[in-house]
Amino acid sequence: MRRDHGSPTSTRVNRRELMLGGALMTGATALPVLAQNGFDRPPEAPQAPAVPALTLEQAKLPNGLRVLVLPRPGAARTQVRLIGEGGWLRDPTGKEGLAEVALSMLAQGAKRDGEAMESADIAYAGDLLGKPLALEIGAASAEIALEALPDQCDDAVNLLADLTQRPALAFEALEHMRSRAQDALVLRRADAQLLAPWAARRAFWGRAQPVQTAGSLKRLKREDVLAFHRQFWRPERSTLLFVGDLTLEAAKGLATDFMAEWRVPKAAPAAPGAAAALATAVPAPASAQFLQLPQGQGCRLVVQSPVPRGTPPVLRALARELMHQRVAAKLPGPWESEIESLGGASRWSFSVTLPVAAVPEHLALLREQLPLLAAEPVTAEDLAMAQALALGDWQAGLAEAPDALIASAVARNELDDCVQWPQRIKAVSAPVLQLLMGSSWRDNRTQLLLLGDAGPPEPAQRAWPGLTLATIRAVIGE
Amino acid sequence: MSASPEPQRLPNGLLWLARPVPGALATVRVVYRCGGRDDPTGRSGLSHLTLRLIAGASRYLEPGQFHRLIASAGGRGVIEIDEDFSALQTRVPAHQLERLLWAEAERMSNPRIDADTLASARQQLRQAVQAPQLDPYARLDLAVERHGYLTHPYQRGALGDPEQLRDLDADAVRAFHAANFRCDRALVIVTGAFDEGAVARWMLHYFGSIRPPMLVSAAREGQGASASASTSSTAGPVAASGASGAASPSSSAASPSTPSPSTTPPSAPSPLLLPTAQPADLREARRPQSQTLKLSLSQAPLPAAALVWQVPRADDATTPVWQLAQALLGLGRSGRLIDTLVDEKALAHQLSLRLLQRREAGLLVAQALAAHGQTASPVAQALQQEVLRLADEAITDEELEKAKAMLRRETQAQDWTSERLARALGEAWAVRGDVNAAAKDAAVRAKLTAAEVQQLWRKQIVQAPMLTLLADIGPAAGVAA
Repeated sequence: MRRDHGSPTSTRVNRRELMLGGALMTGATALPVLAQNGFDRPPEAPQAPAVPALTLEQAKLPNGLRVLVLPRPGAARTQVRLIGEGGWLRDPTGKEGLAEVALSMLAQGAKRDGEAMESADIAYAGDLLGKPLALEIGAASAEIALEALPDQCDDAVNLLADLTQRPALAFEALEHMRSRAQDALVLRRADAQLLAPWAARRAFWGRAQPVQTAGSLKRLKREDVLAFHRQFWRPERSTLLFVGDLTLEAAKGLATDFMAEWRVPKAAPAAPGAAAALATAVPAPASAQFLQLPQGQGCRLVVQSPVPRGTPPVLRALARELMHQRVAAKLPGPWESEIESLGGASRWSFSVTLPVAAVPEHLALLREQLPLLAAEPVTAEDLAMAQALALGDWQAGLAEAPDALIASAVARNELDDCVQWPQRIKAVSAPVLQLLMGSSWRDNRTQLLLLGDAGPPEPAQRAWPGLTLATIRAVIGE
Repeated sequence: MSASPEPQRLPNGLLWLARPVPGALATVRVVYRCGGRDDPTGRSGLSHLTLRLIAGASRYLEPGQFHRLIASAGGRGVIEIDEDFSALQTRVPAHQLERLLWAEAERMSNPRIDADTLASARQQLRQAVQAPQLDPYARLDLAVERHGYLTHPYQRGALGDPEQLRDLDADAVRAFHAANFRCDRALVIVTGAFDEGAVARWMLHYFGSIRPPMLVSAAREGQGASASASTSSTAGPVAASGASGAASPSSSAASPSTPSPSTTPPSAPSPLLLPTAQPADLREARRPQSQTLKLSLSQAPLPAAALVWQVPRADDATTPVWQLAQALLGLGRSGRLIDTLVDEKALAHQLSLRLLQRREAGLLVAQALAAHGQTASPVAQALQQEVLRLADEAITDEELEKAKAMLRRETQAQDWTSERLARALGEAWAVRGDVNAAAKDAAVRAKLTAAEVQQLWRKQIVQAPMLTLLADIGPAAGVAA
């Protein structure tokens, strides 16, 4: 089936005609009277145009703040994003959740020209620009995003400066945000879809992976937030990104106007946290866990396998694209796949939501097929398809949310790869891709996680021997 | 040929529209005016099932082959089922557009509906129905639809019920497809980077050759509806062009380089066509009095509440006023509901105000997830109070301008990518009956005053009956609705 990938026109005509003949004999072909004539194959595709690398301009202010500009001549609006290093990997041990709470507190109060800005004022100022202020936490970054008309960019940068340089970080705000984080935690634990990525990370990286709990949130103090803020919202550890119709000079001017005076006293070095531990963590060996959620409806299935540390981003992307196509062809369904890199070995996962009755069959097929699909030879057509998909997704990301795409690359320290994406994709060869694919998804390295209601455990255990029932305490730690 | 602001009609009745978007990508969206509302009674999900069959396989596209064709081009595709429409949307690098148009025309004209494809589509539908049920609040969302609408088929939702489709055979699906997924009930939208003249030629070439419904009927009658006879004729040069030749698409199809493809405006359909069989409008009953229902959400960890009001259908003249009111209350971080219930009173942690205006009826849904320690009832009361307050509490010029700015940005953002624009145009056509509805709404909104918003609110919300849904957990939970 998969061999058809790269030859949609040349080898299928006869096959289609033969199948059509067969169908005629059985009378199985539907709606024959609508059939068109002379349209039995797609037209030849013209030569793909060369896709240039991104033109990303950058500068640095004397205080160390990096300014990046992706010029978009004619763009009606400008995206402005401040990227800091305080992602959830920086959570101190025992105070998991600090990064998220500290970020959300930025929008709860700040000062402008000596006057207090309440959370309502901050929300209003963001909305007035046309799009709500967004606070986004990732593994390696904390980000504040705004969008403005070209002549309102100064308002946007001014607001970012207020939030990061003059935040109130008040005790009341901590209580409010802590309470919201605790409710979010309760929601996450009741929802297999939300819980799955956290449980999967914990299964993969073990205790090195920080996971917030009610206890860790309860331990947060205002001093922790202040120290965390001083540690990670610093000009030399931050990037101000602009995407829109403006020059680097204009962007640098805006940054200078509002952020040149941004100075933070040197903070004590942070205690080594999860980031360091994860960089050296050895992924857990093969395992299979079934976490039953009370009265869940349906089941979230996750399978995952390690990708060696240091694997280049383009190679990871191509492997994921190709394997995704193979898995979806063999086991049709709305699969999601990702390769998550947190410093050391990466976690390559596939996940899907299944009706209870479909779980045993999917498990049996997955167990049998994953190693086979990974070991299949990578043909030139396979490589071309994976390259086309990786390029298409990059282009779509640039069209849909260019600031998020670049910010994600900045956070992962993969900006060069992002900028040179079309060229680096082309540089990958089939044997190299084959090597990575073949080393993954082996029986002794694949982990399985079921969350929710998968029916009685026995059929699933027969389909995937070694599947054990787990508790949420064992998986999450609370 | 320059891009027309209005859809063009091919001689077979199919409408199409092309809008350029700068960039490297192109998107094709095929929209059928057939959705969950059109499912026959007792066959909820039939439109959804049919859409999956169209997406699945066709005469020249084996199961999975469309997907591989698009993947090898670097593209992605989705299907969407709605109460009012069904849609297939695919994005590719712009240079692959002609191949995509070929494939979409093939899917439209020759879907394979047999026992095997039906079984596969049924399985996919079951999976699609299952996925949202993982959400602990899925039953509340379901209750909003089921009880928000009183008599309209919208109350069934669009995904459908797999049990109602279990014994359906291929003939029944073919009949439903023939009646509802006709080319003269569809719109093909092309957006992105392309040469407009080339797109016009391709549309005529690939889609213009699809037989219109009347010709299908005639062919069926003339050939005794014999599957083998009509199919075998497709191997020769005569069959498809025979009847449609007079209407021009066939001759154009034979000459794909025709410089000036003949298309006609939508107001002048070909006389060869049967009148488009649009389903009769269904009217929703007015809610006689306010009602409160209690739900028990066994999976949910926090209580929730939803308030539901009936609102006019999407093409109502007051729609821009509703949009502005919704923005004032629920859009952004500073919308009144969030400001009061989340930030000030800390009663709720998640909150939304949705304006669901469909082709024949609409709902306004205010929904909140209670903060820890709260029960659903006080959250519902506070939510109601805040919604009603819009009728009387002064709306400042600055607040009004802020809401308008956010809506302006939303409208603007629809044009930024080929995928967003295709989706927005398709929905406007299927639900509003006007692809330019968003721009017209924006023009009206720009002139609206606070007094007009409050006048509408007093009449349509304050004085109107309301449905309250209370979803408690633990001992506070009441009888399941």
